[in-house]
Amino acid sequence: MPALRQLDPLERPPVIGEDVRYEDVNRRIAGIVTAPTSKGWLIGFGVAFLFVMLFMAAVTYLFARGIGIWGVNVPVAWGFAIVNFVWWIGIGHAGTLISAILLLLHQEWRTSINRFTEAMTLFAVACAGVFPILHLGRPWFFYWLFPYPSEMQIWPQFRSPLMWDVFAVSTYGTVSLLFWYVGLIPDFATMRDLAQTRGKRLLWGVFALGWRGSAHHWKQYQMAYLLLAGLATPLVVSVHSIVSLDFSVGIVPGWHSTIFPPYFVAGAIFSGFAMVVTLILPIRHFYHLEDFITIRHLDNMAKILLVTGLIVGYGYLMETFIAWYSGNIFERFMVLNRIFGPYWWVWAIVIFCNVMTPQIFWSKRMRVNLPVLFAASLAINVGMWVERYMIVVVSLHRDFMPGAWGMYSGTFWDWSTLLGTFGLFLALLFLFIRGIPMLSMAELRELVPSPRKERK
Amino acid sequence: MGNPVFVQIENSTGRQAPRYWRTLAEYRNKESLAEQSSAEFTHAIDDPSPMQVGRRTVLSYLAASAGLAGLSACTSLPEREIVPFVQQPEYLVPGKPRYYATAMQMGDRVVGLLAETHLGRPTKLEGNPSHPASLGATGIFAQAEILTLWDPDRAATVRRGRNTSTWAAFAIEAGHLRERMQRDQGRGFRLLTGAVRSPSMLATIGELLRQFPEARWHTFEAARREEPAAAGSPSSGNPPVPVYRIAAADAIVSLDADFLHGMPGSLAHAREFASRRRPSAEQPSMNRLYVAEPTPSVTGSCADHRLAARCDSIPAIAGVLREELGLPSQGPAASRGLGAEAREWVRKAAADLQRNRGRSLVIPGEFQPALVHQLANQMNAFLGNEGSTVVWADADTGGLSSEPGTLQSLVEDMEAGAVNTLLILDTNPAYSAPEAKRVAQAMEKVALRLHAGLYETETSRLCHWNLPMAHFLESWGDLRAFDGTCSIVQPTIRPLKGQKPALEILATVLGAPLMTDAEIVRNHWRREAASNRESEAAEFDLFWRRSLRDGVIRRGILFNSEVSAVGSRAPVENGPAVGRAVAPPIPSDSKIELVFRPDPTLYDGRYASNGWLQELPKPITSLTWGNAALISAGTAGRLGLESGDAVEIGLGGRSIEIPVWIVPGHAENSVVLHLGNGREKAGGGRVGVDVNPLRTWGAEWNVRGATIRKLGHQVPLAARQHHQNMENRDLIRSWTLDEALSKEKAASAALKPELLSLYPERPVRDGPQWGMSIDLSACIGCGACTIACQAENNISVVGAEEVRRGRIMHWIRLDTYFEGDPSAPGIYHQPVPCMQCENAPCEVVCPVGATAHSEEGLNQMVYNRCVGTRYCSNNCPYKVRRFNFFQYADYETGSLKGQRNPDVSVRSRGVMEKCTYCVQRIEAAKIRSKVNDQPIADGQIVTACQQVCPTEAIVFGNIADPGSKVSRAKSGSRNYTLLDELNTRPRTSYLACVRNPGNDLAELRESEGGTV
Repeated sequence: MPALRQLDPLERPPVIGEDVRYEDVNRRIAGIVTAPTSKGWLIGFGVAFLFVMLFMAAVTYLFARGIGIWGVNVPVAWGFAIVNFVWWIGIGHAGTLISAILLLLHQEWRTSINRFTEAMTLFAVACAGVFPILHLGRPWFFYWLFPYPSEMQIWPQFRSPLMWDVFAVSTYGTVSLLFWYVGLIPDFATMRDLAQTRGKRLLWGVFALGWRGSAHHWKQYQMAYLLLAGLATPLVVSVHSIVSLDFSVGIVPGWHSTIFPPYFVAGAIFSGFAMVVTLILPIRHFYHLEDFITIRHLDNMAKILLVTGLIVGYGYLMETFIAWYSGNIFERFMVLNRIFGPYWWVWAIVIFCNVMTPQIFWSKRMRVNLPVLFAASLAINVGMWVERYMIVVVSLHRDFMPGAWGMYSGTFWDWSTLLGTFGLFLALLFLFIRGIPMLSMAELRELVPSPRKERK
Repeated sequence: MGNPVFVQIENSTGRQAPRYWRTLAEYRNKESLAEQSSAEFTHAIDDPSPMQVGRRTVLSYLAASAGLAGLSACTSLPEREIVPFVQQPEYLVPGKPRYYATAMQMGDRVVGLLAETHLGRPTKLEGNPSHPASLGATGIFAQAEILTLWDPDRAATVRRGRNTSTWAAFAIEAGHLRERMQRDQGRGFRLLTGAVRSPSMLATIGELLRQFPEARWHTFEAARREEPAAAGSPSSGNPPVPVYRIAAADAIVSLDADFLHGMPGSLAHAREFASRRRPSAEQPSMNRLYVAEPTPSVTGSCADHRLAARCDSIPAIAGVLREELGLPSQGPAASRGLGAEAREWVRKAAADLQRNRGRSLVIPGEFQPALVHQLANQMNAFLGNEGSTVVWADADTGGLSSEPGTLQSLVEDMEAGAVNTLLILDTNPAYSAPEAKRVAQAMEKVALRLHAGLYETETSRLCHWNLPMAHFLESWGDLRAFDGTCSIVQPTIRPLKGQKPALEILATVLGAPLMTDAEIVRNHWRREAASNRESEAAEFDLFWRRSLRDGVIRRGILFNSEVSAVGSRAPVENGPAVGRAVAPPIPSDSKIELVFRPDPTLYDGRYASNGWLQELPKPITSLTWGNAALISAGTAGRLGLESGDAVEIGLGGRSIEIPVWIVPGHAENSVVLHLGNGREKAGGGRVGVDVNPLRTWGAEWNVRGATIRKLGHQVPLAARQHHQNMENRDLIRSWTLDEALSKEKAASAALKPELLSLYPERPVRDGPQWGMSIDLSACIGCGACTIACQAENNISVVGAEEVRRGRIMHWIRLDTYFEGDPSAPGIYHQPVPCMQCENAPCEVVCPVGATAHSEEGLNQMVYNRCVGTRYCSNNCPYKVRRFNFFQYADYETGSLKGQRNPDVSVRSRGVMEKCTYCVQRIEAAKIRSKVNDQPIADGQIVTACQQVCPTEAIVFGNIADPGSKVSRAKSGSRNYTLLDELNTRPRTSYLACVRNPGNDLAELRESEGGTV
């Protein structure tokens, strides 16, 4: 791999290693799946699974006792569950953005990371999706939020943003799954063809849906993929806009703001890309995928982090400005309380992680410095979680009537549930890495430079 | 519990300890059966000591086995008249409550009540409108009594030592006791009771003392200062008791007297006080209240001029006030040493009193020494207030020749070995008396100690016999209110677990064990009637029925002007004794003073096992579940303390560890400690800190020279309200009298921005539209509405930990805000129920439509439909919604089920709840109106908070009817809604608080022509 400083700044660095050939793609990517289980994987999966068990314990105790085991109260009736929900949903966004929007924009570099990020999206949505149910006072009635033909002839209340959430998130989950699966079909076929045993062949074959790689197949496939990308694109914007409406439809100072939809979408992409970076750096390292996930990918993602970080920063600025400009005493107090109130440290973390940290990416040197990139992505992940904490908790804890103000802090069970979803997410990722080609072989093959001279 | 009859039969054939054995195997099993039982019931039979085997032991064994059988069955069968209804009794309709007039006593306070019963279950207590101490309102204690009745922790079994026993065994014991007392005329027999306000009880005690002339009676009320009773009286003997007519006073000076909340007659005081706090164009005048006190009380929080004064400086302030009024003084000028602030306050108060001669009032505090009472009486006499704002009622002594002795004299006698038998009736000196340890030690010297009470207490544990006493709702009795009005106490239910009323227990000692309390009371009043105006024997039945129905015997001072004349007396001359007393030493401010007061919600500790009262936020501090040492911000700053810091308070070698709580408006270098907390033996274990170890005889109420040492850790206190600064928001409007009367203020208050809504206007419907008005000028912040709502609406108790987490369930909360200088703040109260918004933010956001609007304007909660997203609570700007984070409602405890209002759902875990405007009462009225084919009259529907409110601050009704009381209230210029700008259009609105600080002193001087 050429060293960075040898690259001509005007020439785009390659999206794939220069020495990679067609057979390398299959061998190296399918090889990860077909190779015997490594010790490292077992340890990683085992640790993640421990956290899954913690999650199960936390949820069991939750169902047995009630949500009182969490720190929620009145006035802060939403806590970790909603923070986690918004955070996980946000993380999912990068996947769809990379897969769909960048596909439509013909950003070839997306190809080597899209499969992985789509999987990340799915698992993040799965993690997010449990929270709206867990956080219910009576979770066994969660289906009342769906417009099903009830014998009591009762419908949900369609003016409620929570209702919109149900549709937005379930649509998003469905489309993401379809998109991911359709993209996988050619690779499943490759796996089937590479399979050594009849059992494996049968298994891969079922998922490959009879893919033979005919031109007709490819034509239909690409159209379907494009259409799904077209469907998924508005979802990138809509899902987090709808999630933001949970807040901005409410009248709580700190929630009731028209800037929320764009600001949430930017924040979602921001945190999503940060999560992609956080995950992809170790995988790239451990599975030796430097040829497929190149410095150019990382550089691009750092740039997106910078841009979305700036949008998020603008959101903070506008919130503060409008609070002052509106003359609304409750809004003004909300801003002052964020900065100087008992939760000042939340605000400080948010500003440090989400506004100050991405500024280092103005420098190319920093963008391609892997430890720095990794650390910054972690900081942004934390920062975005804390930002949601600020929006949910800090806004609620002091709203209109000082006589009803209170404080909030997460309990052991709050933290267990959060850590538990980390475990769930990572366990699913480990299974994905182990069981499914984590890069799109079909699409990568399109990128393989052949013949080599053509590139110049 | 199931069917008790069935269980009983099972036990008598199966597990009951057999009295007679049939087979040898059964005989051998007897021991193991007893073991089983003792393992199951913690205080059950132990091995008898070999020394005591005798006839008595055998008897008690017999009784114990019978008692155990009853215990295993959880409830004993009623002994009398268990015949099911063959024909339905008239008026007893399932679903329709019945009301019985009765009365309750707490300490010296007596309140007439109406008990609501559902199919024989008392579920709620309301004030008796005909009773002068209630006027239809009740205080927090009366509301909580219903829970005490059903409290599963109440004493249920007769115990002898640690063994269970029976009433029959006690009757035998009482027989022996009587035999002995007849021999020695009752020498060494002592009866210890709380304050006795019952004529029948007095007569019974009188009978006891007549039969056994050597016996003695002592009283002990833990939360009463003994000496002031005698203070006002020029003669020895029975001192008359002052009755204040607050409504007649234009200027009121309270010398540490919490007359609106903490005194006999305070409900009546509050009503009268509030009647003068609602200025309008028709009645533009208002009274003015001056209060000097160490820590803000309910009364102090309503003051127009409040002075934070150390408790031990009150006598000096009284002296200076007296001087300032122009009463001749013999001593040196008393004003020396008083701070500038205090002098200013005294000058203003004196000027106001002077201006309002005959229409003013000086009220001495219950916990102030006799001197303050003397000075106050002199001032009232001097100002010509006697007969107008102060009248004197005769203290009822029941014809007893001598006053009861005190606890202190009893303790001295016990220590001297002069007491061989002690019968304690429902008082707990081993916990609540100063030097309680000494009391306990002295009791050990008494050969036979008997205790009758509602609960097993610290004192009962020291007694040989424990007799479970019936609750007042289970017994007959009679009570005399602060003004002399008497009421018959009638039971609403048979004693739940076979407890006996105090009257019957005394009758047993007197040798009439079969005499029922009903007979005792009725006979007393028959005798009384024979010697009175209601005399005609034939008319007695009528008199009796009328008294029962009305709940009052019309003899009180407020009913009968003739009687009031009886008690009035000549003004006290300004004798030299008084002159000497006028110049009390001005306390040095640097020494820390401890002030002991009864707990605002637990009183002297008798309510320690009452969850409602434990969880009711205490006025001003909003603390629940436990107490703190109240201190001022200045003192805290000097000692480096924050609210919640644990300190060690030491006094004369004794010390306690307690957290501190900073209270704005608290006197410097003064620490207020509340009694009644930290009970060792009370339901749920120890809550709070017992401050009693710091009290000694002679220094029961305040003492100087304490030390405070910071311990360095925090104690988590369970405060309901964490922020008492209004942050410059327009939540409580407070106007001065001039502002309230000025047209500009009214006009500016009426100015409202035009508010738009995205949603279409609701069509105006026919039929009633409910609304509520809360007058902040009348609200004194007593918290009765909160607990009344809890009783009416089956609101759960959540416990200290949950309160700390902000999960208290009260549907109507009381917000208290401080304003201005922390050392002399304005204090304002605001009860906040659901606003029942017309544009309710909660309704839009519920995804399942569990909260919806009714045609009558109610914002309704559909518990069945609620899935618990809690979005509604977040979106409620008033934060009046409450969530069942756990299964708070107790589905398990059988006796608590009896208390619940059958018209209100008991909510389950995971469901949101909130104020409903007492929709069950609205629906009941609607059904009545449909049945009778009459429209619902204004005032026919009364919400629980409205009904209990002593000041009638809450008005509820139909706002579609322009003539209704609530419409009229809302049409006034003081009307405003909370957070108007959010366009929620609340149905609950407030009337601005009006304070009457008056003009500056200089202006006052001018108007008085310089006489001040």
